[in-house]
Amino acid sequence: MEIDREVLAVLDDVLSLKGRASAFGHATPLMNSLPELDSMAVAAVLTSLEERFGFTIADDEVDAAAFATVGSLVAFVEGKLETAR
Amino acid sequence: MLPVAGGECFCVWRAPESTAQRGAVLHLPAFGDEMNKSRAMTASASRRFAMQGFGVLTLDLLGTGDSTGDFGDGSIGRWTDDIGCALDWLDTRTEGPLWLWCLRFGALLASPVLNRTHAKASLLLWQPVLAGAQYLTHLLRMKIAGAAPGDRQGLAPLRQRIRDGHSIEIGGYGISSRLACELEKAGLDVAREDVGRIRWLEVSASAAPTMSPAARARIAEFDAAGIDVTGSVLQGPGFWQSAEIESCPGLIDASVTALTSESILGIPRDSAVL
Repeated sequence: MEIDREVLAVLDDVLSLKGRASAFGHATPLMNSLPELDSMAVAAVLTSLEERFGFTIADDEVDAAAFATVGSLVAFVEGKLETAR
Repeated sequence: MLPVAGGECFCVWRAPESTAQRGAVLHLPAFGDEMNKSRAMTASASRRFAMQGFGVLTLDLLGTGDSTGDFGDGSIGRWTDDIGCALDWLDTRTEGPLWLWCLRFGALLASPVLNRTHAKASLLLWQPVLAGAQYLTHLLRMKIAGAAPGDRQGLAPLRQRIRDGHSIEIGGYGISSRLACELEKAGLDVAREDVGRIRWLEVSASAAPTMSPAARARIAEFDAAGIDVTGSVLQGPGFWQSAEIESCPGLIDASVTALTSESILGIPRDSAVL
């Protein structure tokens, strides 16, 4: 649950959603559904996740599928934390 | 304008607005667009710190804002020298403890500045960048995202271009190969003998904000090294990166508390030279 909260906080911060992210669930679609999520914003989200969690995301590790829904993004972060352990 | 090697550094000085001088605060700014978006916040915080009896100096790094020079000539080494001149200037006009107030990228300047000055300073950190390499990746990603879809390169070829000595342009800022190489190595690394206190403040939009795991880990390291460090997190907007200009008054309030509760027990500036 903590990871869910962290990911939603990053989305809310980076995309200036002003609290809207708190209503998001795992099934909430991101890419192509959230107009704020352009390529610049994707880059900023990746950076914020790196800064918050202290891991490094390589080029070939992340693709559009990770940004499909809130759930897929949370799963991506969980996978990163798992490998870092 | 403060004369520095090869140019002039634009500074704003706010004299303490109370008869009891509590100390000096020097701001080490964020980078590029983050700096521009933070200007309103740093200006209001400066005024508040001055009202509390601190002499506050903010400056534009070489090649930014109203300072002279070309951003492409900017480097951590060069900026550290300029900040050193600002500290010398502050030293003749203020007394009491010295605080380096670092926002984002500014935290990466803290350790070179502490090494250069031999003065003991405390750090007030606002959402500090912990690793220059990570920050460089962020800048490169911004460049890739800003390119036309057909022209997008990967991170690896861009890194290679930098290592080959080429400068790259990101969001209107020309980043020299020298600066990029410095960033690769830069970090928030301070030794106990160089630093007074560390007051670390984070901002999160979350309804129940928690300190980031990365910050918690670093704070624990500083604590284990015997450094007087505390961290706290506030709810508020990420004003340095938000699409619109935002402010976070709670962060300024928390900073005033951090600065003033320590000034009574402040460490004399020359105690590092013992």
